Amino acid sequence: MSEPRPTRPRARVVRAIYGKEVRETLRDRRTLFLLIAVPLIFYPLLLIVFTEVLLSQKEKIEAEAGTVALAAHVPEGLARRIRDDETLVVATPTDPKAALVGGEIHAVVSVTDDVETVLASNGTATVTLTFNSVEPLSGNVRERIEEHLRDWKKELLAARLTRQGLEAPFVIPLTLEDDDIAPSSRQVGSVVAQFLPMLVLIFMITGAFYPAVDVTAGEKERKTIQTLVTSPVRPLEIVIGKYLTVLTVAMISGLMNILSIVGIVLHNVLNAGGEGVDFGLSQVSAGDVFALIWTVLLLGVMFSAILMTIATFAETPKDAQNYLAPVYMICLLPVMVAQVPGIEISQGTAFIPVLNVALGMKEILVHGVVWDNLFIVSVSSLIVTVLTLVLAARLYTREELLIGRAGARALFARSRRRTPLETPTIGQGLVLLSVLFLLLYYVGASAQGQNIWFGLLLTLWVLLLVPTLGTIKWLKLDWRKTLHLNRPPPLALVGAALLGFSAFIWVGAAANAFHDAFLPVPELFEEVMRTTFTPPTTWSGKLGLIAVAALSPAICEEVVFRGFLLSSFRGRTSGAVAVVVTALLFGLFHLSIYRLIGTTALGLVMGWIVWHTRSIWPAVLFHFLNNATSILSGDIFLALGIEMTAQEFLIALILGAMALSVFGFALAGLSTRGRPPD
Amino acid sequence: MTNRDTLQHPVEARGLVRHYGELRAVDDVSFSVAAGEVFGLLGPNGAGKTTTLRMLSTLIEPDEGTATICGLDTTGDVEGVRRRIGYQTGDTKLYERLTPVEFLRYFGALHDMERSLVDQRIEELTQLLGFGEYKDRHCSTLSTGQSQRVSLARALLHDPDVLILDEPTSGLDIISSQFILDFLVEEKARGKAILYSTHIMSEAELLCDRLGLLYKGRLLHVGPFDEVLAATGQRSLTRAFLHAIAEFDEGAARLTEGGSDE
Repeated sequence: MSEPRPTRPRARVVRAIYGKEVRETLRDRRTLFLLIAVPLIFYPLLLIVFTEVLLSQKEKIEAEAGTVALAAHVPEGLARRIRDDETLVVATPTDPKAALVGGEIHAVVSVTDDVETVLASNGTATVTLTFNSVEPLSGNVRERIEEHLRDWKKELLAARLTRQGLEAPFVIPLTLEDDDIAPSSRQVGSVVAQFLPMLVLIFMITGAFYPAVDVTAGEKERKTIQTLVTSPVRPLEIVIGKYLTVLTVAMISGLMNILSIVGIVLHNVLNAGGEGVDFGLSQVSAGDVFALIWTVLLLGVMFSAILMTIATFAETPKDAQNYLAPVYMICLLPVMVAQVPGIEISQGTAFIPVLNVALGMKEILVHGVVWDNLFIVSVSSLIVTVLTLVLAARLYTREELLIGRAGARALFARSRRRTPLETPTIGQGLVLLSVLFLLLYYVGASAQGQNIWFGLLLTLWVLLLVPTLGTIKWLKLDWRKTLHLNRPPPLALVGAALLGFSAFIWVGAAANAFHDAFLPVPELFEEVMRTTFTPPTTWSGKLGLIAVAALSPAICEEVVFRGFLLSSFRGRTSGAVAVVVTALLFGLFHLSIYRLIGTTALGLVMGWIVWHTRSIWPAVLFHFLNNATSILSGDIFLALGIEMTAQEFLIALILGAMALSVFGFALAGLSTRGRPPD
Repeated sequence: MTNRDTLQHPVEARGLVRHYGELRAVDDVSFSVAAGEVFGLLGPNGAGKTTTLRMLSTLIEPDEGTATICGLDTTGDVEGVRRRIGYQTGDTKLYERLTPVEFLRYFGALHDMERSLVDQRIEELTQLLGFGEYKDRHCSTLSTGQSQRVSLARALLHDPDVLILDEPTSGLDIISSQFILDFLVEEKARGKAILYSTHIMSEAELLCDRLGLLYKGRLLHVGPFDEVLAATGQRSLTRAFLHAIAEFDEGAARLTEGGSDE
């Protein structure tokens, strides 16, 4: 009887919440201090004053004369050099050690008694330099004497060689010349990469900290949260409005601090009179810069969500600060791990939050941007963000959390007396999908790396299908409505079959054309795809491949995407939105920018046919035929005796496929005529 | 229930039960509030007043029983219920860094009201509740009494049919309390159904048309002031209440004894 609660956020209400929170935040002196005073006034002052003091101190010491005591037997060759040095004064205290401790002299030069004999017999003599490292001038005097020692040593060696009738190269059989082929920009880049992620991270967390606490736990402490949630506001509206506030402040904080750093560096460079100082950034391409800024934004997007959601659990701002303190540690650890040489972005590390972003930055600066990796990092970070925010929205429906202490239990507590829904909500659909994404790439990808066929089967049947069916059972949803298990109109099956035989041809051709023009597919990637899906020669091998790569996805992926996910949109959005969003998510699910276009296009076809016919079966049939035909296409053409590379044939094939597809679309479209709507 | 009943009784609670762990905080509570009526929920601290009001204002869900606001189920059409109620507690604070006008405009937007209508309502309520003097000062500078007037304006902003007020005068001095009570009498005359909880008997005598005596989660007596006095045979509300409590505790003790004898 009770209708499903409306959950879709209304822009006007989100704007109102955002506007109010930003206004309040900007009126908070602590936030203003952190946002403006610290980066723009405090840091520069601190750093500029510090460097100035350091520089002037150094100059002062270098200009100051040092006093040296020469012990007995110091050979004339060394003693002369020291006496001639205008910055050194030779003294003759009675007790040199005591004078050094007392600060009257700054260094003592002593030698063994037999020094002259040793030198004369071509032996190695020892010169001892006594100094006080705590005393800056003493340390500096030591450096000055060392220079004279090196000079003298060179002279002694030259004399010895001459005596033996040898040339200088005799004692230098080898010299080493470094030839680093890394461009100088990348060398600088790798240095910058050492500290940039850490710095950005700290600035963003610092900036987001107060607003994250204030908009969540602060509101609870003041009990205004009760007035807020007894207004006709939806949880997602609250969460999005508050989240955007935290994000805004985090971004401003990051920007202010970066501006501040740039300002300080420029100031120091100008002061040092360094014209044309090369930061090595001139060779970084526009793409790299874009990727870098994008990565920094991702970091802000993700952290704002994490910080705010954790603070939502807290009852008071004090609690919230206690909760958030470990987040610093947890966030900084992966960033430090990212600096370890040899740890690079891979399918495994690409899915560890924070670490992936830090590694992504390092990669961009050191090797240049790799679009496929950036894509995976982006998708995974956005998944973490969305998942975190959906959890936060869930918290705003938990009464335990609104009226008192609750903690993490509240997240999993079920509503006391909820009328069970028949189909999942969009939020539930997205949460399930996010969980599946993470399962896929933590568990599935490594399993596929070990053994591709076993890994694929495990991924599809265990990691995708089982959690989806489990969720339907747990939420007590209607199986038929959630999975679109309706009897299909016969014509829709015929249409789906026609599409299954033909769509991949023109979709693939279009995707290839796009990639050739805008985003060339790396050869290695093409090679891997080709070898993985080339059918074996035996019939049993072919059947096995069809079972793993055509039948299994046709069942498991359809249950997830055209079942659970698509039905979560039904009755809540228009068909167009539902089909486009699920197709896009289906495309993203293949986790490669080079497969995104093709898979999304096929997702559109399958989404449309299920939305239109309310039956999952045409999509299952389409998916199976599509995969099977494309796997076996080589065999089919071979059997027909057609040369696949012939240009005329390819054009004819594409046109024929398009015609077949149009016919398929028409049949599927007409198939529901005269049927009652569900 | 017919449509007419709904119109006449915008608040209906039927057999509400709510547990906190082992404790039955609210135990089979039923009552209704008519339009143009103030219903007082009376009880000592911990009697279950706040829990009952929270169930009616959709903050928490009952374990058993149902509640409706203007015919809408409080666990079903949550948003519909929230549009029709003004909920206000004595301990709610304002947003410190906003001014009363900004605060009220914010809630106007949350109720999806037109800006011009919001400003018109703010003007009316500023006059009625007399906070024009400090309507543009930051809320952090307002006294408790001043804050409470602004809070009340917030609860009334969208002109709800039902007002749910949980000890709205707690912490206020006599002058501020009296002002708010007088104001509520006027709102009642304008046809609002007002559900009012308090532990101050004099307030209840002055304001409420009907009373419910709540103790340990149970409604001991429900009815107009005179009926409650007659039923308990007492001359003042305080005595009536103490009498009812004593009777209830005695009954409970007898039950326990009877139980142990068997």
